[in-house]
Amino acid sequence: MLDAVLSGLLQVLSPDSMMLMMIGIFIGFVVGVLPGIGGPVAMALMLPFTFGMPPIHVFAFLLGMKVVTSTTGDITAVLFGIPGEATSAATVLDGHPMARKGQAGRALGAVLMSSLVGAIIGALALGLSIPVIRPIVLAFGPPEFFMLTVVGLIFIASLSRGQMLRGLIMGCLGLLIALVGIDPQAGVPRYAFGQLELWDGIGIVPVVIGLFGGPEILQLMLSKESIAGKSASRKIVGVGQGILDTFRYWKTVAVAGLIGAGIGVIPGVGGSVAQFIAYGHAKQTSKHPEEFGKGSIDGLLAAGGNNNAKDGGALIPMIAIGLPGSVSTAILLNAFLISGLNPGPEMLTTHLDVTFSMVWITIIANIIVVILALPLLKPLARLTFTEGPILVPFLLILVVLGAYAENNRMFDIWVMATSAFVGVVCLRWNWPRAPLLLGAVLGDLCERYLFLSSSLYGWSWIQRPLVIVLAIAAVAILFKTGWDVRKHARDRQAASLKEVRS
Amino acid sequence: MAGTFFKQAENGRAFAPAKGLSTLSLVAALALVPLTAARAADECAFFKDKTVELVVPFSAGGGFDAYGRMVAKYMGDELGAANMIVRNQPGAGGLLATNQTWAAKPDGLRIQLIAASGMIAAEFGGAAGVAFKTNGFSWIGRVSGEPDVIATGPDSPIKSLADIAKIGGERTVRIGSTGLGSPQYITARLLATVIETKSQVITGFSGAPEVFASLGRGDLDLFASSLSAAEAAEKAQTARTLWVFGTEREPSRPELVPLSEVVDAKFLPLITVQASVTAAGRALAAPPGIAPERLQCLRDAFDRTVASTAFLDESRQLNRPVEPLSGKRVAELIKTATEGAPKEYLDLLHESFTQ
Repeated sequence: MLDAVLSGLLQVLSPDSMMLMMIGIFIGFVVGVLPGIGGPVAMALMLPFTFGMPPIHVFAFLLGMKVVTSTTGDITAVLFGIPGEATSAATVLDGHPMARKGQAGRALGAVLMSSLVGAIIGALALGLSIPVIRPIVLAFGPPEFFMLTVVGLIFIASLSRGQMLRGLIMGCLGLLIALVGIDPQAGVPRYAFGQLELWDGIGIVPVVIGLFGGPEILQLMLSKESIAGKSASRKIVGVGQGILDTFRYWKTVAVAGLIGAGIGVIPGVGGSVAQFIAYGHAKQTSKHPEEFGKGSIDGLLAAGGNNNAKDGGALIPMIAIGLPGSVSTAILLNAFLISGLNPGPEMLTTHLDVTFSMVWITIIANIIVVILALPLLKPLARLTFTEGPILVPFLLILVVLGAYAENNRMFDIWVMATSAFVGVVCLRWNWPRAPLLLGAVLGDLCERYLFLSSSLYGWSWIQRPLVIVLAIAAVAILFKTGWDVRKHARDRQAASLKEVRS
Repeated sequence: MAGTFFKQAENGRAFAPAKGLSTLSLVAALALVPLTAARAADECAFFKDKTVELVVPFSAGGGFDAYGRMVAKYMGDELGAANMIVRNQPGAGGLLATNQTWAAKPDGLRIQLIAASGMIAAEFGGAAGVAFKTNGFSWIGRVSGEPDVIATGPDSPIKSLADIAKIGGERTVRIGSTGLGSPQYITARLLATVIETKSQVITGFSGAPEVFASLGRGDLDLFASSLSAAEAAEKAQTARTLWVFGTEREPSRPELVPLSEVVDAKFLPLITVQASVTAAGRALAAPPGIAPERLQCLRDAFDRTVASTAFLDESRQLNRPVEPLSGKRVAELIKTATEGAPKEYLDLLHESFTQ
């Protein structure tokens, strides 16, 4: 085993692999920064270039490219409030308010360092799971996945604190969005209105870009000022402080990383949900939940630490039994087959070095991207001082391209525009946006896994031990949220009473 | 050039009446040969400096996409086009792109790699959203047409039909599938019919990898998938392949017995039609109504592409096996499959799509 760990590292450090990784990182950096055009699209386009390469070179290139997109996607989220990747939406919630207060440097420093820590946690989770990887993956069937989606949906509650009814309505709206498309069991188009474009459901990438990016662009257009406004100091400071913040709040980052790695394992869920669960959890455990959404450093660190960790988790079922957990791992699976590798026991015996090389690539590529990005932070943060009217046309082109790029269709641009409208309405009248996204992603999976569970096991799936454990966890989270909300309300009441008396 | 000339000559003869061939018509046919050849040359020159779009009806990065890119890489040069580019147009399981290709201008500048078996099933099952007739496309040639196989779990006791019947005596036999109307659902339904025991098709899996995961977990008894998917699952130890879904053995896996030899002989017509639908595989087509000479240019360029060493080398290197078939043969295969389908088969398709 140790041989394989070392051999994997040495093969990754060979000049050829490192060069390919650097090219991958460069491409990943650029596509990560551009909204919408994300890891999966870039990997799909670059896949043909890997034809004929030895396996470790392929992964150095493709995986290196993939893992840095979450980090650089966060940069766009902080600076412009537009998620650079679908997994960077939670970063917008607190990262961008910080940029608007003129703290872009600190936010970027925090995001970069927490991303690195998160990536290491994800890679370690993958590395440590290798000896027990197959039994773990096979222990999770449709009933367990169903319960995990329920746990995810429960986080709608903690994401809606202070506006519970609105959060529930938005969550339901998300579930309704998830209903659109071909019914996964009966094969009947639902709410498709005769449009073939709607058969595959509503794409999550254009929804995320519109919902979170749209309002920011509109604000920038209307205010005609720069993102950081006139009041803020023109000096960019605080990158070092942001890095230190990561270690000061190490618990938040570590838990966010673990949540990311764990949720990354569930097929189909991925980073777009994991980020909000980590964010919701951080909000629930924070001493200052009221600061969330207004530039809270805990919130930002949770989002940053989470989205890089999920990559390690998503590799677990792919390596163990060839079950891809996300679009990008499905592309990696293809790269496996092209380079003559077979997921499954071979990856844990004869090709164990390749498996460990993936752990190393995840860690090394993330270290390199932090080193590369640090000197770029100041010039990037300066962009927040560029005047709105100059910035807006570029941002508009980017979001339109980003929405179009995933499926090459105009329809997704309309989805993005509609989501932008919803996003503007939400921001203006203070409705939470995260529950909508959670509902939209989880609704579909929740329905499919419930149906599969019942057709495979009848009602007996409820008695499975892991299902019971997860159900208890779900109820506990629900009660904890309820308790916290009541306590918070009581404290506030007491405080206001005190104020009245004094 | 000579190759094109002779192929045109063959076509010239094919149009002549087989019986009562008079001297006059022979002279006329002979006179037509150089004319057609000259026109064909003109038609091929049409592609010079043009960009041909090869539409792939699924997302980039998948298996289907790999085949499309492999063909486009070499066929553009064989056709003499300035470029042949791949355009991914995913949506509605391939229906979106296929409908658009059906309605596209038949100039040969938009061609598509079609999941022929899925489209035949959708058309004959009366699926909503189908706006084409598979038989009407101008078929250029088949890239791959691997058979379907039937797999069970690695630890499953199933080795023969009798084992399945034994399970069926105790409880329902569970057959995995993706959603209704998918090609996998149709094979699953057929399988449920031919095993003649109490069985249930379990739908709702997101794709073959997820069904194999369930098979590996022991949740399911059977699953019919493409040979390559089953072989990947065998290596991942989530499946054990039992039989070929067809009437003939697969040369690369001679030990696998065809399903027709396992089940009752009365199911032979059902298995035969399904095997020929599957054999249409991944095939390249142009919109209907393309000028015959231009179609011939595309067919010739395709034939040269799939016979070239560079193409075959790349197919081996990428572990993407090809089984090329000429456009004419694909058209015949689809015609036979669609015109000779037994009523029971059509009913089953209908039920799969309109339930």
